[in-house]
Amino acid sequence: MGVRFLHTSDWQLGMTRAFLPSGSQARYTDDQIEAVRRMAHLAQEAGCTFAVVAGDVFDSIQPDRQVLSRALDALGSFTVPVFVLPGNHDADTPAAFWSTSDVISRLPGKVFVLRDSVPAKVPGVNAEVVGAPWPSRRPGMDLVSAVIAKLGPPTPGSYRVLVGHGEVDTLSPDPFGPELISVSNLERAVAEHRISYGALGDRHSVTEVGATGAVWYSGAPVATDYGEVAPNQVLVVEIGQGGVSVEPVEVGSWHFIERSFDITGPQSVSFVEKFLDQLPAKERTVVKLSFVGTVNLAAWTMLEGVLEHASDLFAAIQRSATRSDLVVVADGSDLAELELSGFASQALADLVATAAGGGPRSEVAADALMLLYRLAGRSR
Amino acid sequence: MRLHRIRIENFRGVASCEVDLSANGVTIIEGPNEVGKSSLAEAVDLLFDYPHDSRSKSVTAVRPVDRDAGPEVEVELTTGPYHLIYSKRWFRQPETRLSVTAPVAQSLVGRTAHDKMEAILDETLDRDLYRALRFIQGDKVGQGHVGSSTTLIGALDRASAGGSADPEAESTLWEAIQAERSRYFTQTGKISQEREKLAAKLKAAEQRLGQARQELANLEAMGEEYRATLVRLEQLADKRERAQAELGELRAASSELERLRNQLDTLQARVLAAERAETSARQAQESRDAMAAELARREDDLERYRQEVESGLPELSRAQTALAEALEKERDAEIAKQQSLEALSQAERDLELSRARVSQVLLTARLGQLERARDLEATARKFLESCKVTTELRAELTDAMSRVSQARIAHDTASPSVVIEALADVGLSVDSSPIRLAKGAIRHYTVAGSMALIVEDKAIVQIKGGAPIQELRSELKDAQEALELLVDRYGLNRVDPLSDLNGLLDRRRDADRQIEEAIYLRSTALQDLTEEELRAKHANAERIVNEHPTEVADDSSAPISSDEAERCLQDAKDVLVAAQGVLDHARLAVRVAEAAEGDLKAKVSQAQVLQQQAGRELENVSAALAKARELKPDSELEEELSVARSALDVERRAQDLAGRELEASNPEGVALRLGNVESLIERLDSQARDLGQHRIELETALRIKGQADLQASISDAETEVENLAREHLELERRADAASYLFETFANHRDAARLAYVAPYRLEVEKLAKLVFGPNTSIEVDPTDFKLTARSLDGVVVPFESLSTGTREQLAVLARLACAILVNPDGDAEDCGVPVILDDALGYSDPDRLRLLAPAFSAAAKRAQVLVMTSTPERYSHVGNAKVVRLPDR
Repeated sequence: MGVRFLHTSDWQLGMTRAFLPSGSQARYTDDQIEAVRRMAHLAQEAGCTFAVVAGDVFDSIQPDRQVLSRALDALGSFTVPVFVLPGNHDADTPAAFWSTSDVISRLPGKVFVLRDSVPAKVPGVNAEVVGAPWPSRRPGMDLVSAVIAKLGPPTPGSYRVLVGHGEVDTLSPDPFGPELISVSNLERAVAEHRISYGALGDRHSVTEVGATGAVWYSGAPVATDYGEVAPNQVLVVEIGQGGVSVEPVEVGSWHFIERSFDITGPQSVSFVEKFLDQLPAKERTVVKLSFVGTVNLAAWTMLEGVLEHASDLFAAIQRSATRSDLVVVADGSDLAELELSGFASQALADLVATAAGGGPRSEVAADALMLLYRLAGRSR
Repeated sequence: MRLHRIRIENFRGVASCEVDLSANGVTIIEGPNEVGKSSLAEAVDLLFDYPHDSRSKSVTAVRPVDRDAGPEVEVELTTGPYHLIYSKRWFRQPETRLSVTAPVAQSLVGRTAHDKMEAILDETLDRDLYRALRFIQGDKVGQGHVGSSTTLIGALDRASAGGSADPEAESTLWEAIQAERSRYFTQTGKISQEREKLAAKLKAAEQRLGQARQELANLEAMGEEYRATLVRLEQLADKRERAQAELGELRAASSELERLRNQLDTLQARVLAAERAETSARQAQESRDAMAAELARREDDLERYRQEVESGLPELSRAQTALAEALEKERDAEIAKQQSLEALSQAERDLELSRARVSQVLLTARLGQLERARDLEATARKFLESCKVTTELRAELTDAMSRVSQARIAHDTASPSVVIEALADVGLSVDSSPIRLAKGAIRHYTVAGSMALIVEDKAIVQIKGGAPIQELRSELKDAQEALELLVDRYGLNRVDPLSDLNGLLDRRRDADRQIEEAIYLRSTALQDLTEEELRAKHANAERIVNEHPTEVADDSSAPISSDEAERCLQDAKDVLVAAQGVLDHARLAVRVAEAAEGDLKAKVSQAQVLQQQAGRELENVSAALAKARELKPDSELEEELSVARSALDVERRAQDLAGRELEASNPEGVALRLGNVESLIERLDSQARDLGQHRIELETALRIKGQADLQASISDAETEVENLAREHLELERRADAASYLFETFANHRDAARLAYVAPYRLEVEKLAKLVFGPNTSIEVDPTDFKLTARSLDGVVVPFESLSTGTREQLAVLARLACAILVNPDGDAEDCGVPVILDDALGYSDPDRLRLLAPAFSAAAKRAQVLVMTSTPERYSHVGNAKVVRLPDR
């Protein structure tokens, strides 16, 4: 008889995103906690007999007290055993809340923290869970391989889930990091039936690791940053005689969207406006925009207006730090609108030339132009 | 704007005045002082600026004081497209009327009229320029602030081909740009307080964030330390276990060593006992040997002492003989010395006597001399006492004798002289004095009074003098009596008193000399002694001589001389010294002999005592030895010693054996290792205690710090930093933009002004050349358009250094130039501005005034020029001028 369980990781509870306005930040934190409840519900719904959280349940070794309490409360809604692994963010160092607070004693009855690598029998299920917890934030070794090396075969007729956390060597841009998890070791353990499934955490995108089909990153249940592929999901894993099947299920609803636009005139601005308009769940969506191109003052003002409006709707609107790709140039219509003459018109021409020149002063010249546009408009 | 007509009523002192003005060109309003010329220009200002219900000071000031009437002003003018008549009355029945005739006729009154007129003026008149082109009587010669005139700027802009369409708008925009900049910068260009505050807040937030992160890092570090502490505690426990095991082994080895040591101790005690027994036997044997040796030694001693006594006695006898001989010699030497002493005493006595004798002779002589001196002195003094004559007496005597002589001569001369010549020997008696004369002898006589000459008793010849002779004779007698008296008084020889006197005086001198000689004699006799001393000495010498026993005649006792006596004495001394030497030697010999004799006597005596003592001791020792041998014979003693020595050997060998056994067990090594392991355990325990304490401290600290919600602090700080950074960035961007905009505009504005200066300067210069000559040039400040200098034939003079007249002329020319510039076409509908010169050019000389005339004419073609003057001659050269003469009041 096979087993079915929930594989999740990287809840990153208590994570603050400084770029979020305070309202959005509160909403984000609430949604992270709410996702835990959803997972509990999903586990029950999907007929999972237990759940593993492969590290980084909390974003810090000293999470906010309130977050901790609310997390424990949410964990209490699980009806199946939950095995929680300390990851790199919430490593089980003596300085971490695992030791310095009374969290262990306050854990709901079905929640177990994998603080060592002794295989733990899942109560009432023909499965055992073995963890490779992070004892510190920089252990300087492949913790998973170290656990595997000591593992014998599981109890006959029992499946063994190894819960680990960290980057795998095959996906790392730096293949010599001391803490990288050796995929080949994992695959060998799978091939030797010493483990049935490798439940990994750390990568916030759902990712299959290696070729066995039995090693996965579950990804974060709530997106945390730009560039995450398929976040907001958990995995419902089934291990049976036929092997491993994995089903991603969406639980989170936050989106981090990065987008660059070519801006050429009012039409482009309208396009930006439409793009933003069509995005769903704006209050849970963070958009980082960058613009390339040349606009006149009128279009720029229009764009500013669009972005200002969007800031009110979205969780956050971020502008790429540099604006040098967007050149603001006063064109004929701008100038005509300002109706400047005499030295003022010459100064205007000077500013326009500098703004369009792409030199080191072009950005401040563009700003000055915008200011002039505003002042001249007001003076009229 | 062109003014066509101005009417004023009840305005200051002017009851009523109305002037028509030339719309184009120059209008000269002439009139004496206080007829209201200046009031005309003032009236236009009041009309434009103050509503009819105004109670402002300016309005009140023009209210007439001499009558109850409100000031009233009416102006007909063209401005821009408007032609209108505008009037106001203040205070009494105040009212405003505006009647526009073109472009659209319109009549308004009251506030509406005022507001409408304001609007028209704002639209068509550059009021700044209007005021700037005014030259008011009594003002300091000023240049007018044409720099702020937008009309002028506009005109200059056109003139410099800048193409400004709306200078006023530019001006407003410039103000807005300045205002915007001032939001971010202080007046002095420093960063505004708001920006500084925000930057500081950001910095503080960043610091807080850094701090919070650091605290979390510290907590983590503490965690790692805690983990390391646990590991070290485990290591310590391991070490302690190993040390404990070693301790057990070492303690067992230590017990075995203890047993060996006890065994050795027992053996050592037995060796000690055997040693004591052996010592005891040995000492008994040694004691017996010692007694035997003692006996032998005593016997030797006795023999030695006996021999010493035997050999010492003859030696002593010899020494005693030698001593007796030495004593004999000493006695002889003593006697010899005594004799020498006596001889010496005799020689000394002889010497004393000899000296006394000599002394006695000498002293006797000196005493004799002393006596003689005394006699001599006494004799001399006695004579001197008796002899009264003095040298003065000689003069007195000589004098008396001389008088006698003179009297005699006189007497004799007068007296008959008698010459007796003996013809044969004859006896005569002259005055009873018989004389005998030999034949041929002649004798002269002078008859004193009378002379009785008896010749041979045969004849008496009486010769008598005459009467005068009697007188002379009396005189002679007196003189003679005086002389005699004198001679008698001093007892002198009457016959030859003078010789006598001289003899006496000589004797007197002799007596003096004798006294001196006596004194000398006395002193030589006494030498340094008094007479008493001399006498005492003499008596002493005499006593010595007398005391000396009269030498026996056969002892060749002729008194020896002193020298001889001294020689004898010296000889006696030498003999004494020799005798003393012999005596000393003899005495020394005695002492040597005595000592030798004493030593020998003592030695013999001591040897005798020792001999007796040795005899007694020998007896004692001999008795003791005999007694000991009786108790234990010598052979028995020897046997006992031999037995004890064997037993000691046995015990010592046993002890050696046990000692080697103990040494072989390395007792020191075991003890050292045991001590070390015990210390190690102690140290490990101490370390474990310390570390355990540290572990507890860390645990506590971690638990406390774990409650501090560090992540929440970090999150808060991160958010704050993010927000502040964004805000700061925005603010700085805005500030940069404002600053950049300002700088760009300021640069262009300055550049434009520089460009404007050129046409303005040209226009002023054009007019100035008319007045000052073709080689005139003018410099203008581009910021306020004020003239800064005039250059004439290459000589540059700053404006302020020019004469008042020249400055005034330039100020008028600058105004005319402005008027020309703002209306280059002379278009009446243009917004040209009238130039109003009120009593100007008071400082200008007639030549200059004449040269100024063409400038006025040039301006008049473009602008309206109103000149008020009480001195019409100043403007008499201006052609084409309309002249209005105001009537006297």
